[in-house]
Amino acid sequence: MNEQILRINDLAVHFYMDTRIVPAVDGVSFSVSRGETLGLVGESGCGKSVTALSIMRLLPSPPARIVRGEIWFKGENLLDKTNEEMRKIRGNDISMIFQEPMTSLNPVFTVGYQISEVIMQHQNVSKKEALERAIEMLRMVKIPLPEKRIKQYPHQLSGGMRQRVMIAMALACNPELLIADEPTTALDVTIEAQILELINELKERFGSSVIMITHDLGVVAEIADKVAVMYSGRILEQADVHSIFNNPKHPYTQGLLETIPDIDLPRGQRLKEIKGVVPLPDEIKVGCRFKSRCEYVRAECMVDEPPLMQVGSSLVRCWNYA
Amino acid sequence: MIAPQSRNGGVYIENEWIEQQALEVREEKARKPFADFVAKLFKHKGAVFGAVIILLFVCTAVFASWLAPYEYDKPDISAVLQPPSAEHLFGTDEFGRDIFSRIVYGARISLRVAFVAVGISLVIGTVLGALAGYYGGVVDYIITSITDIAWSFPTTLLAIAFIAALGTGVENVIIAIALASWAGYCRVVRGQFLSLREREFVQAARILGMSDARIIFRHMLPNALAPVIVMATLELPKAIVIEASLSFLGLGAQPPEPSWGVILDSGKGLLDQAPWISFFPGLMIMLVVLGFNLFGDALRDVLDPNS
Ligand SMILES: Nc1ncnc2c1ncn2[C@@H]1O[C@H](COP(=O)(O)OP(=O)(O)OP(=O)(O)O)[C@@H](O)[C@H]1O
Ligand code: SF4
Ligand SMILES: [Mg+2]
Repeated sequence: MNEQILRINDLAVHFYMDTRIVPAVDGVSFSVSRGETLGLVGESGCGKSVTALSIMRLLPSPPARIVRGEIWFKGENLLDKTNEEMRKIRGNDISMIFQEPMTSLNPVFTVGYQISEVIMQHQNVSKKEALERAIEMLRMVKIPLPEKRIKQYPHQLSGGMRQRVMIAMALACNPELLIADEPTTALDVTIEAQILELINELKERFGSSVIMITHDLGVVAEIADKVAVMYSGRILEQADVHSIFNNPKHPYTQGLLETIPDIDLPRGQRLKEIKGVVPLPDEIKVGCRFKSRCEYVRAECMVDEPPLMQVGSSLVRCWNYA
Repeated sequence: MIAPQSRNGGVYIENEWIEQQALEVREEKARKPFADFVAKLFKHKGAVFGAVIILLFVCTAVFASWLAPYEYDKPDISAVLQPPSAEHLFGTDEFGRDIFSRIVYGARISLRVAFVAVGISLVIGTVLGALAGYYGGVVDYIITSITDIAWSFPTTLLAIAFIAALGTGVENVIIAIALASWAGYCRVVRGQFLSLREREFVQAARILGMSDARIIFRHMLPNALAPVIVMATLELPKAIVIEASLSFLGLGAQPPEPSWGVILDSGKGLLDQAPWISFFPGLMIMLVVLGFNLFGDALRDVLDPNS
C-alpha cells in the first residue's frame, strides 16, 4: 500500500522569455503513493500547472524547459522517455483532467466516439467493445441514460456533465495516476461537491492515486490525504491533511487557512485575505520568498532562504522553526 | 482552525427526471443546426440562383452523351457556319460541327479540370498548412516561406509557367492549376491551426495520448474545414477560367477537344461572319463562373460566425 507511484526530485522548470528567464518551478520534490491523494495548493501563478504538465511531459517548449530534476513513475524516470513512449503512458498510465470542461471536448464528435477513441488508442479492442466500455464508463461517472448520451455532442451537455465525460475519458484506461488541475473551478458549488465525491469514489474503486491541484483549501479538505503548499515555484510546507488543517506551521499556510470562509461569522467578515500579491517567480532574488507578505518576518528572512526542514511530521520552509 | 470534513456530507443527488427533460429539449435543438444552415443558405436569392446554375452545369457534364444531339467532333460539310436554328441551337462552326453539342461535351472538361485541380490543391494546401500551424518553429518557417513565394505570383501566370515545363494537354492543365493554387488553402488552414492548437480539446487529446497525426487530421482538421470549403467553392470558377484561358492560348486542351477555351479560340477569326461560335462558349463560362461565385459568397456569409 505504501508503494510510491510517483516521486519527483528537485524539479526545476524555466521559461525562456525574450528578455528574461522565469523559474516557474524551482526545486520541487514530492511523492505520491498508490491509492493516495496529494493536494497541491497555492495561489494563481505559483507553478502548479507547470508541475503537472512536467509530469505529462507536455510543457510548451519553447519557451519552457525542464532544467533540473527527476520524475520517477513506477521506477522509471519519465524525463528519459522518448515522445512515443510518453504518448503511450499518457491517458493509459497517467491521465489528467483540467479546468475548462466547456471546451475540453471536441465539438465535432459525439461523446461516445471520444471516450471509445481513448480506449482504442491504448488497448487492442474492437470498436464495439470500446463503445460498450464507453457506456460503462458513463454509467460509472453517474451520467443517466448513458446509451443515449453516447450519441450526443458536447454542446448538448451541461458543464458538470462535460466534466464527468472528461473524467470518464481520463479514467477509461484505468490509469494509476490521475492529475486533476482545478477540475471544479469553473463549476458551481453543488456540482463541484458532486464531482469531488465522484473522484473520491472512483479513486477507491480503481485504486488510483490522485494529484488534486487547487487554490481552494476546502477542496483539499474534501479529498486529500496529504498536502503540498506551493508558493512562487517552491514548496513551503508539506504535511498530511490533518496537520495542515489542525496545526499549520508555515505563516503562508496559516494565512491560506484564514481565507477559507468561516460559516459561523456573519457575511462580510468571513474572508480575510493575505496581504500583498504573489511575487512573480523572476522577482525573487534573496531571502525567503514569502518575506514581503509575512507577519513574522525577521532579520535572517531578508538574507537567506530557509531550507525545507522537518518539524514534527511536517516539512516546513521557515526560519521560525530553525 | 477548520477540521477536514466532507462539505456535502457525502450525499449524491441527481434528479433523473429533470435530466431526462433537459436531454429531450437539447436533442430537439441539436437537430436544428443543419436545417438552420440550409434554411439560411436558401434565404439568399443568389445562393439559389447559383445552386441552380451549378446543378445544370454538373448535369450537363454528366449526361452529355444523352443531351448532345450530335457528336462533338463530327464534321458536316452540308451545314458549315450555320447560324443558331432549331436544328443547331447554337449554330455550327466552319467544319459544320454542332456548337451546342461541343459545348455540352466541353462541360465535362471544365468540370473535371475544376474539381480535380481544386481537389489536389486543396489537399496539398491543407496538409502543408496543418503541419505548419501545428508544429510551428522550423517546419512553419520552411512551409510559410514556400507558400509566400507561391502566393506572390498570380495563379494564371504560375500555371502558364508549369505548362511551359510540363507541356500542353488537359492532364497537365490540371496539374499546373493544382500546383499554382494551393497557397491560399495553406495560409487559411495554418491560421486556423494556430488558434486551434491552443484550444483545450487539443490539449486534452494530447493528454490522453493521441498521436500527432490523429490530433492533426482527426481532431483539428474537421474544426478548420468551413473556410476551406468556402475557398474551394470560389476556386472552382477560377480553375474553369484558367483552363479556358490556357486552352484559348493553345496551352491546354488541343483541338478537336471541345474545351470551351478551344471553341472560343476557333471562333476568334470568324467573329464578323459567325459570332455565335465564340459567343456561346463565352456566355457559358460567364454563367458558370457567376453561379459558383454567387453560391460561394452565400456559403461564406452563412458559415462565417461573425455575420
Ligand atoms: N506559457 C507560458 N509562457 C510563459 N510563462 C509561463 C507560461 N505558463 C506558465 N508560465 C509561468 O509559470 C508560472 C506558473 O504558472 P502555472 O500555470 O503553473 O500557475 P498555476 O499555479 O497553475 O496558477 P493557476 O492557479 O492560475 O492555474 C506563471 O507565473 C508564469 O510566469
Ligand atoms: S522565513 Fe521568515 S519571511 Fe519566510 S515565512 Fe518564515 S518568518 Fe516569514
Ligand atoms: Mg493552473
